[in-house]
Amino acid sequence: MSLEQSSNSSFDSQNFDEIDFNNESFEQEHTDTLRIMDNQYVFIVLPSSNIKVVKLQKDTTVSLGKFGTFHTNDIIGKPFGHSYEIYDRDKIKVIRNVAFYEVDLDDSGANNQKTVDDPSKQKLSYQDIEQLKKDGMEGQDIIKKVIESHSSFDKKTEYSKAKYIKRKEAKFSRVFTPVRPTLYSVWEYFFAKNPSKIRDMRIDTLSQMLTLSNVRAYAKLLVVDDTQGLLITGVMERLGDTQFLFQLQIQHLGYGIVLGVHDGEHHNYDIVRYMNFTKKVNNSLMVLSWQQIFKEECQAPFNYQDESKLSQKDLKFYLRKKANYEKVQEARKILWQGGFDGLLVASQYQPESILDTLVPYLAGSRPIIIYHINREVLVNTCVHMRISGKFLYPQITESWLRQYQVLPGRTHPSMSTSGGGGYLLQTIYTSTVLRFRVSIAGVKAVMYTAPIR
Amino acid sequence: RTIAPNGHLYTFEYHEERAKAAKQDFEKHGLSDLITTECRDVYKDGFGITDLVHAAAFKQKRIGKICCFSPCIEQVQRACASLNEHGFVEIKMFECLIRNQEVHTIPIYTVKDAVSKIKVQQDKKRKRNEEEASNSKAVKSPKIKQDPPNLYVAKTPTEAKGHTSYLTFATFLPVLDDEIEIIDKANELN
Repeated sequence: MSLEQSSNSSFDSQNFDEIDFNNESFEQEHTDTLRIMDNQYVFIVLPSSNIKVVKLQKDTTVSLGKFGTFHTNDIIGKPFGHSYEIYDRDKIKVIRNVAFYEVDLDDSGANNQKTVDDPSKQKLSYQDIEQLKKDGMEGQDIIKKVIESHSSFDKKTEYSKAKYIKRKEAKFSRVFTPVRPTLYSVWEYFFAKNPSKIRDMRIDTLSQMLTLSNVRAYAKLLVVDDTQGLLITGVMERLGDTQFLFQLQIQHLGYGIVLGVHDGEHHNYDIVRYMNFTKKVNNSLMVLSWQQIFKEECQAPFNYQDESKLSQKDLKFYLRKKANYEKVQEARKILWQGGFDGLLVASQYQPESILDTLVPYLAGSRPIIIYHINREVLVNTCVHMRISGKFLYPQITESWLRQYQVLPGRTHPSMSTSGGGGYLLQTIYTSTVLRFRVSIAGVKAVMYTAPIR
Repeated sequence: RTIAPNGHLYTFEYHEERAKAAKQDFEKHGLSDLITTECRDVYKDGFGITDLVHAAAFKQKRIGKICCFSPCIEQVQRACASLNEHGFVEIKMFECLIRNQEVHTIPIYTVKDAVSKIKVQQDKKRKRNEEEASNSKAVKSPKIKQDPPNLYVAKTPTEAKGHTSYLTFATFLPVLDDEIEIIDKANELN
């Protein structure tokens, strides 16, 4: 079975290493979490509960397929939280979003004893509805018409009516809601779109990882992320800013450092960009490939040239290459210094080999959390950890999550729920090897000092 | 941990002793810069803070989240009804539990081993009968070495936590003070 290739399907063929996050086109000094801003990613939630991601550029229009189109200028600068209804083709007005409507207690005596499943009950055909839409009829009115044309709508129970209306709203209403990207909304989007790309990691498992590994400001973390950057995004969100400078002249471990080890020659931390992080937060991220972390690899020095002798075009190219080279050297130096506060792993590679490679860079008494969708992989790693003696109480856990529908008179768990969210192996790394000798008097721990690199 | 270093936490406890103990704990751990502890019954006296709080109060200019932790389903139903009344949206309720997986190394025997085991038992019985009959100790026959392969397995424990509580999340929306502005703009474009 071949290793999966890291895919950059959402980007063009541009050399990914050279798209660093400090590119002028979307670097920001500060971000406003209250209002929709130009040049930022925004999630648009549609009535069908589908989510569309859009990078808002002013003076453009966004098409939402059958739900309509709108002008970006109409929402830029508005606060998050409001919903908008499209009318007259592409104009929008603000409407108030409502969670659910109160349904009156059903004492009409209606029940489903005599209901017959018959599509001819609905007099409006698909073409009729399309024509109504073309004529510019508003969503709410279309739904009213659909209800009127249903020959036995009145015979439904109150609850059934409410459910029917909700379904029609999901199809015909022309309301959308812009949502700010946060770790939860970003996860929701990617999990719905393509869960295998994020290794089927569910949000509660991700939250567990971040909590168990004690991700916090001022921490220095080592992360192996094969989930398109979802894990790295979570860590970066919690770390906040940093004041790390290039050239390693002055190194402020401001708010923290994340060192991501990635598969392939270039990283595919696709998800990070959707968060609209500021320049400072993006600076806390450093990346290295599996090849670059080894001292004996990538040793070729950079060909420094006299900058004054280069043409404009060559100079730009040269400076970019130089910056990338220096960034990699920086990251390697940080890695080899060691003393990391935690190791998080969500990777396709065998955890034992990852541990062998990266654990020497961890400080003592620090947490290691390994995520995998398959339990057996972690079981093997758990046994390996027990035998090696350097890991305290390795434990495998699984998070069980169930969502409920809470409506008056209709509260019950969701009819379909997540089958699983992956497994976690958590342990604490001790830099000395613990061996236990059992004697009649009890257990005596004998410590052997393992060489610390 | 999540809100440091720029955020702030306001916590309200209506039991005086617990409030005091919590405050001391926070000071001991060096967190008193980030946390303000108040002994206050918020149902009666309100929060006493205006629009600084993201995660709890109700007439805000900004979008925010609320999370309710309730052990009983009736509380959840009342909470959801009330949240809806006050204009909260995206009301979601979850229950979440941690399931442990105990890892063991077990030897895995085959049917062949099972048959040998029975034969060994029968042998033992026969020898014992022979010994009793002849009143002498027979020579011990060598034990058949059984060396089955080991399997690494994970097993869920017999008893596990069944319920902690229900978590209800909701989003509250900012005040629609610029609604009129938008309708005017739309009219202009017409």
